Amino acid sequence: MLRMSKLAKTYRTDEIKTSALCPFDLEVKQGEFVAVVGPSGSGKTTFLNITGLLEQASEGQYWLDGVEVSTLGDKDKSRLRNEKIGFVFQSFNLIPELNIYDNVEMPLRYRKLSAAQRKERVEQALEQVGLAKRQSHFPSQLSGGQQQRVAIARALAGSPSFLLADEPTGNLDSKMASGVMSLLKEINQKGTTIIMVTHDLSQVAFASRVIEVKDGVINDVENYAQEIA
Amino acid sequence: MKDLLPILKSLKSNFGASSLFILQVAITFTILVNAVYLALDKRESIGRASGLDEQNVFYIATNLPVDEAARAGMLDQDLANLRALSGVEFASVSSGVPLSGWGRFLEVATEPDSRYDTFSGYYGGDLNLLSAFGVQLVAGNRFSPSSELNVRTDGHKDAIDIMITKPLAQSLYADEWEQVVGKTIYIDKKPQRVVGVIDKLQAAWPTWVVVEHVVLAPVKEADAMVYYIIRTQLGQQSDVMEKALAYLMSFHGRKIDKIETFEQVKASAYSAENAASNTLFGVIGGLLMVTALGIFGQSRYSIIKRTKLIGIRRAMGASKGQIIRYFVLENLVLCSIGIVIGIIAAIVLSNAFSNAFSLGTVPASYMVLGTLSTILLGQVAVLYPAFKASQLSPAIATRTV
Amino acid sequence: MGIYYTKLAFLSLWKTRYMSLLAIIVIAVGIAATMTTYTINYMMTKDPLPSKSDSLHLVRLNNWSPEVIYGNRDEEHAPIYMSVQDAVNLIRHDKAQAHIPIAGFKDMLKLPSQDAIDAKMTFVRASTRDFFSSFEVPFLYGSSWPKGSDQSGEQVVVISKKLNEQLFEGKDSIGQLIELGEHQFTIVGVIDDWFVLPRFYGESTRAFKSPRDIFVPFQTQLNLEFWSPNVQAFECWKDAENASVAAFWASECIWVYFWVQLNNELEKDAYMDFLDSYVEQQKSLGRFQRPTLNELQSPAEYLKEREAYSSDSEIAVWLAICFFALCLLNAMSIIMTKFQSKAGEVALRRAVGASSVDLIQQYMIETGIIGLIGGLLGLLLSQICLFLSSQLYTHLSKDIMAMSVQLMIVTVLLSVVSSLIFGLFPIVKAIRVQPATQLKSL
Repeated sequence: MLRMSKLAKTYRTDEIKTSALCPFDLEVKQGEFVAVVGPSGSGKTTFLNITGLLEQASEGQYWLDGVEVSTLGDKDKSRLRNEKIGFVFQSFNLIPELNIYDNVEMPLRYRKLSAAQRKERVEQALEQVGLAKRQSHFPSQLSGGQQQRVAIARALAGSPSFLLADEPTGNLDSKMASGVMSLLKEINQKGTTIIMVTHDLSQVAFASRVIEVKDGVINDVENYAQEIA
Repeated sequence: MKDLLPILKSLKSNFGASSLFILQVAITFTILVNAVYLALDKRESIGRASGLDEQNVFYIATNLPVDEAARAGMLDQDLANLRALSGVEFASVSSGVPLSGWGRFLEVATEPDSRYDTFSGYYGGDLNLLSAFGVQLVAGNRFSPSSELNVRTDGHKDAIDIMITKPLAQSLYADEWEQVVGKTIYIDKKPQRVVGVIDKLQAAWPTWVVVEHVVLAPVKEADAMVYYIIRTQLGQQSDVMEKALAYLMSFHGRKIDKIETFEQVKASAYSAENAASNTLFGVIGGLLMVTALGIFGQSRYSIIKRTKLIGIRRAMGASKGQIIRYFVLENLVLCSIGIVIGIIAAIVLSNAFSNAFSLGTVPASYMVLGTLSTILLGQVAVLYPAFKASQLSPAIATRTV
Repeated sequence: MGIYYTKLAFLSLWKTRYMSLLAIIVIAVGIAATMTTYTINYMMTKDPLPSKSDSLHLVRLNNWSPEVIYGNRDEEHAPIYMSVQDAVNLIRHDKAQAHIPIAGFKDMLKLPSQDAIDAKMTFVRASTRDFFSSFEVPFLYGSSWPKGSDQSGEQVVVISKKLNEQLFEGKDSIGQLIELGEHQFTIVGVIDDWFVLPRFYGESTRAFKSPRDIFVPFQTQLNLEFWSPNVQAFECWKDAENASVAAFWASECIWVYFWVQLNNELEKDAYMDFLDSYVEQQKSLGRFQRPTLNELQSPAEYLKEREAYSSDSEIAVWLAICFFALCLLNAMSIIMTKFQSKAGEVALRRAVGASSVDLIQQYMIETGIIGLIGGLLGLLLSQICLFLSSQLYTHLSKDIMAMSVQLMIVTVLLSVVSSLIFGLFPIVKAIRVQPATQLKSL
């Protein structure tokens, strides 16, 4: 469902060309839970941004559900992000002046859906993260863990092909973090593909596959936990 | 001055916001200079002296409610009784009132057969008219008692001796204006002798080009309508007005057409100029307020945007004074660029106005004053934001913003 | 989508309420300045009678001294007014659809029951019944006087609504008597509010004053010898026979403005032919010894030639437009500051799939609302400014300081449209952020 071929990213200033990601091939199949690990500055975020269509790769091809996306324009990319990808951020990124319902509904607003259809999906998503009763609360009234659940519900509401999570537990204490992780696992088991950037070893265990990014080089790691040990 | 280079660099990288700022200064300057010029131009015409003892003169326009033959007699009787009222300095009859918008104008020539050299306003009255107006003689003599004439109407046609105003004399004889005394000039093609020159007196129409040209003649007109000019002792005016009215209304058939102090005449004569200049001052006030607000807001904005940068500079040892100096200097640079553009725009606008509406163009001194006040405005508006910036803690630098 | 964006816009406006308020005020001030000056200028220069602008004509005949050109001009041009005898002759020949002489006087006005001391000096307009029909004067009570009154010079008057309120407390006063000078007049009509601006038909210097409050037949003024030498300007190239009013009526002194209504070019041509023959006939009687320069002038041409329009109001409009531009630039920088804080939200919305067009739409609704509120506030402010102007500009009719419904709509539209245009740059600048750079640090 997600295939990258000879994808690479270089940054260019006036004189210097910096290579952020070396050319790599990668394929992620339906239902996988991929953990992306690596030290900071290794290119993890660049990888995530390219995967999430937030950044343009410098070379290579990228197929998302069979569509070659690297040459698409802003409008088509926006539509693809909206329909195929759900984002979960480290800092939740909820809009403070909107309530929980409106926050979750936000991506659906950019689709042609009736109010009833949107309501159904929002409620379903909130049900899934166990916050159905908090619809009319505002983000500031929730704990960090609950906020991240809302963010996950927002990502799920659009029934995306895969979730992109960037350090989803980075701003949470360990108790809340494990709650969020089991929620993600549960979602994955129901069939949603997840790609998660993390540096927390305990979370790698939830993943079915581990990819390591190091100095811009991407590699599959067969048995990451053991290797580290 | 070592800040200048970084300022210019940040100007370049912040092109959008900077050009917005510069544009605002330029427009402010353009409007400011033109509006002030126009407003002061109006003020100047309002401020011109009429030549009268303005605060002590009032007039009454009334009829002489008797048969035509008896009018001259009634006129003299009225004048004698008005003069006798306590508080009256002088009372006289006149064929018109300066700046009242209603009067006679004449063609004036120095030669009998030439078409005309200039125009002039005209007032005819008794020998007291000069004193009743309160005008000053600057050359020649007063009218001799024997020169006073009585007519029914159109006294300018019968006048023999006349006085003219200095501006009229100058327009006829330039620097040798004093030599006009004793000369004969031609008023509506009729020869009349100039016996004296008065310093200043305005004609009936405030916006007339030659409003300062007046011919004065000792010719009393006892027409259907007469104007009594009354000059009172200081502070007696309203009292005298009441008494004069009471006296005049004691005659059956008397109609008071108008009774007005000269200050009222002048106020209504210049009401358009007054209103226009007040509006312009209003515009200038609003303009300065909006611009000051704009500079203030934009300085705040640019400082908030650069909070971290300021923190780093502070952390690296910049003093509070240096931070303030940086922003004040930046403001000065932006204002100066704005003013340069503004000067060009102001000249363009001023020329457009002077072509379209036949006005004078804005003199250079206004540009200089405009520059100074715009810079001052900018500096005042930037001071508080710059001070706030200098108060930022250097610790900001270590925080992620 | 519109409702959703509107909701978002209001949330955002509330979040940055001080800044939004500042932007709204700045726009409102600019709008008020522009629309106040524009309204005054528009009212001063508008066509006073659009339905009649092509059919009304000022008749100008070249009646002046054989020796000099009228007004000592380089190029000869007929005077703007005519002698009483010509006005009377033209009415008698009855060759136009309507004949409207503009004469007048002033005298003491009172009710028969009032004492002489209560009489007020009042300006009176003398014309014919055609004045009311051709100038489309609306009547509150009664109507104009009948044709017979014009011919015989009956003592009838039409009064204004204002005067009717002063004298009769606004009641139907038809048939009541008033006194002008020594004479009694019967009221036949009361006119309703009548706004004719500029008041084109008389002296151009009074074009921005209200119409007079009392109207009598022209013939009545002539019959009763009502004459005030300081009401209407007059010029004489030849002295009257003697000092009497009758002699003045019969003289060559010119002072009566004379308008005619001619409904089409054909009628106009025919009337020009008539004027030519009239002047020829008068020449044979020894009058009109200057070249024949008959002219029919439209109200607009007349006002323009007499320079009735003050350039002050036009200059004020230009200055106000510059001022408005300044206000818009100012609002633009405030909006830019406002949107600066939106970088995070923009990035998030971009990430969940909003295209830049979606976001431009969303934020344009926000700037549009700012413009709308600014426009409404500006409208209110300009009403206040117009009221203040009507107090300040005492030399102008208060009717000038009134905004029509169309102008009110234009005011609000102008504010919305200009806010949208000037808001575009801050919006484009705000949504140009790289979503990827913002999401991490949010």
